[in-house]
This record gives sequence, structure tokens and C-alpha cells, in this order.
Amino acid sequence: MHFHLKVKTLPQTALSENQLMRVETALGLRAAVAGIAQFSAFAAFRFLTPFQGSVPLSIDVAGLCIFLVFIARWALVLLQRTYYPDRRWRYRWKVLFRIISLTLALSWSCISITEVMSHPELAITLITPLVIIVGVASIGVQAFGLDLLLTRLFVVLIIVPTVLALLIFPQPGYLAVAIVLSASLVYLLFLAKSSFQLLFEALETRELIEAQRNQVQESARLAALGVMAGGIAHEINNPLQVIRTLAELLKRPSADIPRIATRIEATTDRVAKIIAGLRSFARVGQSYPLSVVEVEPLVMEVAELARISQSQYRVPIEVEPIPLGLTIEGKRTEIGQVLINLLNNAIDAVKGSKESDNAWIRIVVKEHFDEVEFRVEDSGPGVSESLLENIMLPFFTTKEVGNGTGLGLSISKSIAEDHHGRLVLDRNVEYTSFVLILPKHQPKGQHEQVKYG
Amino acid sequence: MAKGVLIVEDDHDVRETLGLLLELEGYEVYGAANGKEALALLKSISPPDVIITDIMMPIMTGWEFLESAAEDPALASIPVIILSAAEKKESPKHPKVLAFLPKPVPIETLMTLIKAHS
Repeated sequence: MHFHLKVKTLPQTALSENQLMRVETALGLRAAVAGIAQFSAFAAFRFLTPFQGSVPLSIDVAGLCIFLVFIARWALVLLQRTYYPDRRWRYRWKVLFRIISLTLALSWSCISITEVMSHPELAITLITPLVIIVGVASIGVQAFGLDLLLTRLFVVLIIVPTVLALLIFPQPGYLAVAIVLSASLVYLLFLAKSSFQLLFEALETRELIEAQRNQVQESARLAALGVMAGGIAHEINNPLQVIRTLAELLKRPSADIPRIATRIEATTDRVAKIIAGLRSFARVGQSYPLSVVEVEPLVMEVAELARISQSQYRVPIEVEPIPLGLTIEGKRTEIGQVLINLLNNAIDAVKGSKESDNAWIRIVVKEHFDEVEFRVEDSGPGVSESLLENIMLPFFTTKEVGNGTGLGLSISKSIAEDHHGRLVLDRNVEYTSFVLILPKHQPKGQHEQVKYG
Repeated sequence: MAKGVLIVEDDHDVRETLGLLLELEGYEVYGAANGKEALALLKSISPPDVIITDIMMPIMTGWEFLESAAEDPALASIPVIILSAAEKKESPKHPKVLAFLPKPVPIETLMTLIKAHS
């Protein structure tokens, strides 16, 4: 069976840690250099000109603020990358800081325009070198940075205003004013655009991540079912063969009709049970509602499905007694999927081992205050040190091509986290033991959606 | 003397019902739950006329069973019918495989094949 996983590359997953670090360092450096360039231009403007002292203080202060924000932003990114690897947290702050710094830059532009408007003589002689310094520095920085789009924008920033100025203000005296005005305008537009873009991007990215995660989860669930389907087909064809043979026996004149009929019924039940188990985890649909899930029937159903799908290996799958009436709030299909994934892994682990005659798989469910702990354990060799770091990563698999997607554990982990729980490997035991820990109740906000029944 | 058939099949119901049917047809039927059991059984009985074997079985699969049987000259000459839900991924290493029948097989097909070779 072949599944297409439509996974668009997201920055979080497409780049390795090292690449991400390099990109961020480059972006940070670029920001810092741009800040320095802008601030130096102001400093030069303030101290090296015949108009010393006549430039309002506000321009210097605004420039200094921008410079400091640029530096702070870069330092913060580095700090977060080092000490807070949780990317969601980092991402949120990064967006916030970008927005703050852009807002400050925007205010600075407004101030510049006001100042220039009230001191035209200032603009004519002094803002021209400023524009040239800032423009050239920015182009240089953008060119050596990574953003081609920005480089183009800065080229436009210089060329378009000049052309505009020549058209609108033919008098040479007003050329500089025109350049500054239109440059500021373009810069303002650009800043406004990127501010909004950032906001929209943040929102879109969130939706995109959510949609893709659902899609990947759905595909992985179907793939897990696909892996089981082979084993299940085998199990359905056996009872079908029995029914055919029984039908043939019925044709005999000496047939014990009631006895054969009873056997046909029993065999039909056997098939029905297999299909019912398969169907309850094969429901098509993107979202599964939160509900109050009875733990015991769920675990029994999953264990039965696993028993059926691997019956040719005859690995006993035991379920230790589950506390009576234990319920948990969550998405039944998804919790079932995690258990199926863990069981599939357990089966793969023990069926290949040499002591497969003594192999066992065990499900232990325990209640700890307001949490429920599901342990899926097997007699397999465990997870070696070298694999430990990787097993929860998407697409990581040690199975042969076609036997695993490498998504099982990563999806299971995200389902656990979705339920405000966790999935861990217990390393304190000699055998393999994966532990799924889920809270009995989901947070209040989601509680309102809970459908009982 | 009655003709003998050995059914190597891990599913108890399939083995039992097929065995019942063949007994009604006048065959002497032997059953084994996997390849290992079948090899052990073959040492203690007079060679059957036909062997029906499943493929996906625990402990010793049908492929492994046929490979071992082919090495024994006494067993290599017994006709074999493979009856399995598995896909035919490799060709069996036994010289006298009559057919690879997918489950569920029509009983007539199976009976015709058995009668033709016993």
C-alpha cells in the first residue's frame, strides 16, 4: 500500500538546527549592521555638519532606539536559541519583537518627514548624504544577507524617488527634499506592508501547521491500518475457507445440519468481530470529538485488533486487569491510534527476535490521582542508546521500506501532547516499555465541547 | 488401503473442517499446526499421497517446511498443494508443487486436484 504524504516544508522542520542557527545569525547580523548604519548616519548628520545642533534631538533619540532594538532583538534570538529550545515560545516572541521594532522604525520615519518638512534648508544640504549612506549601506547589507526581495525594495527606494523627484520637482534646490520625501514614503509603505505581512504570516502559519498536522496524522493512521490490513486479510480468509468447507459438508446427505449451521454462525461472528475492530479505528474524518472514553473497552478492542493482525506469529498479548469504570476525557480514535502504534511496534520488535517462542506483549493500565498511565511493554530487546534520541522524530524508522512510515511515534507523541499528556520510554526496566500518560480531564475551555455518550 | 492426506494449517477451524470433508471422501487425514509439527509427524506415518499446506504459520512457515521436505528424497516425491491467504512472493523450493490456491478456495477445485493425484 502506498500513501502520499503531502507535507509542505515548514521552516521549523525543513531546516536542521545548524542551518537554522546560521540563518538566524545572518538575520541578526544584518539587523545589527542596518541599525549601526542608520545610527551612524544620524550621528554624522548631527556632528559633522555646519548645521550642528540644529537637528532636533528627537531624531537622534529615535535612531538610538532603533539601533538598540535591533541589537536587543538579535541578542534575544541567540539567547532563546541557546536556553529555550521550545520553538513555539521562541516564535511568538520573535514575531512580537519584530513588530515592536518595525513600529519604532515607523515612528522614526514619521518624525523624519515632519522634521524635513519644517527645515527644508536642512534637507537640501544634509539629507542627501544621509540617504546615500543609508541606501548604500542597506543595499550592501541586504545583498550580503539572504533577502533578495529586500534588496530589490531598497533599489526601488533609491531609483523610484529620484525619477519621481526629477518629474515633480524640476528645480535643483528641491531635489534632495523630493528624494527624502518619496524615499520615506516608500520606506513607510514597505514597513507597513511587512508589519501586516508578519501578522498575517503568523496567523497563516498557525492554520497551516494545524491543517498539515491533521493531514499527516490522518495519513499515518491509515498507514498504520494498512500495515495491519495484510495480517487481517489473512485472518478473514481463514474463516471464509471454513464457511466454504462447511457449505460443502452441508451438501452431504448424512450432514448434521444443526451442528454445521451453528458452526457457520460462529465463524460468521469471528469475521464480524474482526471487521468491527478494524472499522472503529478506520473512521474517515478530520476531527474527532472529545468525549468521555471508557478505558477498559477501548484497550480490549485495540488488543483484540492487534491479536488478529499478528495472529500468524502467535505472540500472546495480555491485558492486565483495568480498574473498573475508569474513564478518561479525550478523542477515542486518537488514543486508540496511539495504542495501536505502540502495539504494532511491540509486535515488530518481538516477532523478529530469536526467542520468539517466549515472546510476550503486555498492556498495563494504572490510575494515578488525576492521570491514567497506559504501558505497552514487550519482551523485545528494548531501544538502543544510539536510537533513543531519534525514535520520536518524524520519518525515523528502523523498519524495512514498506513496513513502517516512521511517523508512528512522532504522531503518537503529538496526540499525547494534544491531550495535555506525554509519551515516554521507561528506561528503568529491562524490557521495552512505552508509557502514555494522559490526564483524566481536559482543560475547561475544551470541556464545553465534550459530548457524553 | 485408504489414501492419506496431510493438512499443514495453523488455523484449527480450517484444519478440522477440511479434515472432516476429506474423511467423508474416504481419505485418511493427518493434521499438523505448523511445518515443524508436520516434519515430525511425517517421520511416524506412512507417506501421505498429498500434502496440503498453508504458508503463514508460526514456528515454521510453509516455505521453510517445503524447503526441508524437498531435501528428504522420501518427501520430495509427495505432491503438494499450497493453500494460503498469503501472496505468492517466491516460488516454492519443492519439486512437486501442484498448485498455489488462494483462500477461500472453491472446494471443487481442491477436491479435483486431490483426486487427480491420489
